Amino acid sequence: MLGHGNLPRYPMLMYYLGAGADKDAGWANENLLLVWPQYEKELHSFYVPDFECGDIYHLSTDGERKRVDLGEIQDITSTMFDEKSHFKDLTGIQIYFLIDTSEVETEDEINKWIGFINEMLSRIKRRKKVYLTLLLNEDFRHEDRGTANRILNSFESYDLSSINNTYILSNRLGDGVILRDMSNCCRLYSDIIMLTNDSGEGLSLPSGIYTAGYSYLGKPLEEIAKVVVETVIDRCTEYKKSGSAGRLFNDALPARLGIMENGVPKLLNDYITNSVTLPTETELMLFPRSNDSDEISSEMTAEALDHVTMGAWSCYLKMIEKKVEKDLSTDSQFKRVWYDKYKKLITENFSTDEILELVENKDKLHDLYSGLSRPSKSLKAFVYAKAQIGYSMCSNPTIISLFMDVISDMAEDANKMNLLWDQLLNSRRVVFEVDDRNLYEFYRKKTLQYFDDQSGEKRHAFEVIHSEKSLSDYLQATLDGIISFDSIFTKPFYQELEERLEKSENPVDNRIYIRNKLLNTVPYLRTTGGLNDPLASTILLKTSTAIHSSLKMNLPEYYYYDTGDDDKAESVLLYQLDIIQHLSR
Amino acid sequence: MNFTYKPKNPSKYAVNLRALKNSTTMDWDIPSGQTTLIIQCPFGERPNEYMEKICLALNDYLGDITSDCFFEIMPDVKARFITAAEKGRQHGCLIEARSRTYMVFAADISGDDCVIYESQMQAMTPPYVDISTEVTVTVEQQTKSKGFISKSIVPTGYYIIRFDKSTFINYTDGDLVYKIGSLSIPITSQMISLGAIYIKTTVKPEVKPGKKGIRLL
Repeated sequence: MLGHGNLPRYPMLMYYLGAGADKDAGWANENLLLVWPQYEKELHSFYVPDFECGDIYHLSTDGERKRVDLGEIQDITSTMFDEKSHFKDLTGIQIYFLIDTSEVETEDEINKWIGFINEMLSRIKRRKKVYLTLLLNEDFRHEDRGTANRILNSFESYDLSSINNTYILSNRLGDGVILRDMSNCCRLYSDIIMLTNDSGEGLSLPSGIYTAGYSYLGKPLEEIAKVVVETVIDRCTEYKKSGSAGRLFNDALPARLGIMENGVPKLLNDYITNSVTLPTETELMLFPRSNDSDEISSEMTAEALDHVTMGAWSCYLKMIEKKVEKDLSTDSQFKRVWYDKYKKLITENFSTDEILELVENKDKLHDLYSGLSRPSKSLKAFVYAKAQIGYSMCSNPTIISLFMDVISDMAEDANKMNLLWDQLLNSRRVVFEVDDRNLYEFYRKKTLQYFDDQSGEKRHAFEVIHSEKSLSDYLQATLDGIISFDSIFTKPFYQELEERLEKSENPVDNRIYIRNKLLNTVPYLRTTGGLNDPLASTILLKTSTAIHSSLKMNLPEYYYYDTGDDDKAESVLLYQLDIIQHLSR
Repeated sequence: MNFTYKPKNPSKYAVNLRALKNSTTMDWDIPSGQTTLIIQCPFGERPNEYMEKICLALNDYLGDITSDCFFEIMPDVKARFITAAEKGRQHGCLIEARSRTYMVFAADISGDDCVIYESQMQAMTPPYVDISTEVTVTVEQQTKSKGFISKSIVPTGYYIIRFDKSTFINYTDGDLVYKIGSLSIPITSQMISLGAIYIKTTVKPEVKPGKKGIRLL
C-alpha cells in the first residue's frame, strides 16, 4: 500500500535548470509520487533549459510541459497557500533548485544560474528555505571536458549566500562506478527532498555544502524475471522437443484431422446431412419409368432404381453433387466460416511441427481426405445416395483443397513461429546468467512447480500455438499464472528475502542481511579527501513492520522516514563537505 | 510445343464462323493457307476472354494436337487445329457437340512453336457461333376408356413424355429436366432412345432445359 507514509510539511517548488534537466524532473517526480501520490496536483516542477533565453516551462507529473511567465508562477505559488492546500505548515516555503551540468561548458555558467536563482528568489517574499543541488555529469564524455573539475575548483567563488544547503551529487560514485544515467542520482535527490521537507520529526542540518551516500535494497525484480523467463523457455523447449515428430501418420491421424469413421471429413458430412435434400418417398414415385407397369420403391437397391428410372437416379445425384460443389466453392462467406472452423480444429489438435510434417507429406495427407472407396450400387437407394455424394465430394480436388489450404496456410504461420522461437532461444543465449545461485534455484523451482501443477494443460496449450500472437498470449498468460501461483511474487521485499534466504544452503537471517546491505552505502561523489562522519544517517522504508523494528533496535542512531512502500528500503547518509578538503581537484 | 497468344493481325485472321440450321458442319473465313484453332466451350462463353489460360493449358497438353478431332484441354473446354487443306476438304468442320459455343483463331505452327492470334470481333462476321440444340418434346396425360355401355375416357394416373428422337443430336444426360412442383428430375439419353417415359402423377410435368443452349420447339 502506497501513500500512507510521511508527508511534505511546507509548500514547495522545484526548479530543474539546464538543458535536459526535464528528464531529471521525470525521475525525481516518479519517486516522490510513489510516496506522496495524493500530492500529484500540488507538486510543481519548472524546467529552465537556458538561462540566457529564460523560458520557463511548468512540468506536469505526466511529463507534459507548458510555457509559463512569472505571473503564472506566482499564481501557482499562491494556490499552495490557499484554504485547499494540503501542506501541513503554510508559514514558509521550500524551494529546490537542481542544476544539471550535462550541457554546462564553463564554470562561469554556474554563476549565471545562481544569478537566475537569486532573481527567482527575489520574487518570493515569504519565509523560505532554499536548497541547491548540483548534479555533476562525470561520465567519460564529460570528464574529457573537465567541466566538473573546474566547477568544483571554482566553488569558493560562487555566491551561495541566498541558499541554505547545497548538495553535490555525481554520477561518478565514490567506488569508481559511473552510472549509466541520472535516474539513481535523481532517486537520491528526491529522497533528500523528502527528508528535508518532512512532516515528521525531520532533519535539521546546518547550512553548508553536502553530498550523500546511498544504498538501495528492493526486490531483485530483474533477476527474478530473468530466472522465470529462462525457466519458462527451457520448459517450453522440452515440450517442443518431445513432440510427436515422425510418429504422426498413424491410425489416430484421421480422427485428429476431423475425418469421420465413414471416411468423410466431419464438416463435409455435417454439410451433406444438413444441406443436401434427397427426394421424399412420395417424390421418389415421381421418377420416370419405361412403362406404366414398372414399380419404384425406396427399398430398391440403387442399381435397381437406376435401371427402372433409366439412369435418372444416378443423374439426379450427379446434379446434387454439382450443386454442392458449386455452393461450396463459390460461397465466400460459407468458405470463410468453414475455413475458420477447420483452422480451429487443426489448431487444437496439432503442434506447429506436426503441421509442418503434414505439409511435407502432402500426398499422404491428400490420400487421407480422398481415400474413400466408391460405394456399391447394391446399397439401398438412399443409403447409396449419401455415400455417393460423400465419395464424390471427397474425390473433388476443389473441395479437398478447402481442407488442404487451411493446413498449408497454417504451415506458413508454423514456419514463422519456428523462426520466432529460434530468435527467442538466441536472445536467451546472449543474456547474462544470474549470479545469485540461491535466487536462481529458488525461482527456477517455483516456476517448474507451476508447470507441474498444471498437469499437462500448459504442455497442450503450448503445442497448439501457431502464431506469433498466440505465442505472445501464451507467454503472457504463463507469466501471469506464475505470479498468481505463489504469493512470494507479491510479498514485500523483506518477506520475499526472508523466505528465500531460509531456503538457501546456508540460511541467513534476513534482518542481518538487510542491515548489512543498507549499511553498505556508496558516496555519490568522488572526493579528494576522505569523508567525515555523516551528519545525518537515515533509512527510508515502510515503518511499523518487523524489519523496521529490527533495524531500529540495532541501529537506533538512524532517522527512519516512513515511505509507506514495502517494496524497498533505502539508506541515505548526508556528509558535510569542506571546499578545500573535499572539492579541490 | 510452346504456345503464345499475340494481338490481332490484319493478315492473320479467322472470322465469320457460321452453321446453317440443322447442319452438321460449320464453316468460317480465313486467308489462303491459314491454319485455324477452334475452341469449343460451354454455350454462351467467349473463350477469347481467357485465352492466356487456354495457351497455358495447351502448353501442358501432352497428346497429339494435330489429331483430327477435338481434344479436352481444360474442364469442359476442347480444342482442335485444322489446316486450310482439311477445311477445304470437309467444307469446314464437323460440329462435334451441340449446345456449345465454338470460336476460331488464326494459328501459325512452326516446328515446336505455335502462335495464336487474337480474333477480330466484328459484329457482322463474328469469329464465334453459339450452336443450340432444338428438340421436340410432348407431354400428354395417359387415359383409358371406362364403362361397358356408355364409355368415358378417364386418366390412368400417368403422364407420358414423348421425345422426337430425330431432333436429339449429341444429347447428354440432364440437358433437359422435367419439373413437378419443386422437384427437378433429369431426362437421360436412355429415355430419349426409348422415345417415351411414364410418370406416375396427376400434375402435368413441365419439361425445361437443364442448361443453356437447348431450345424446346
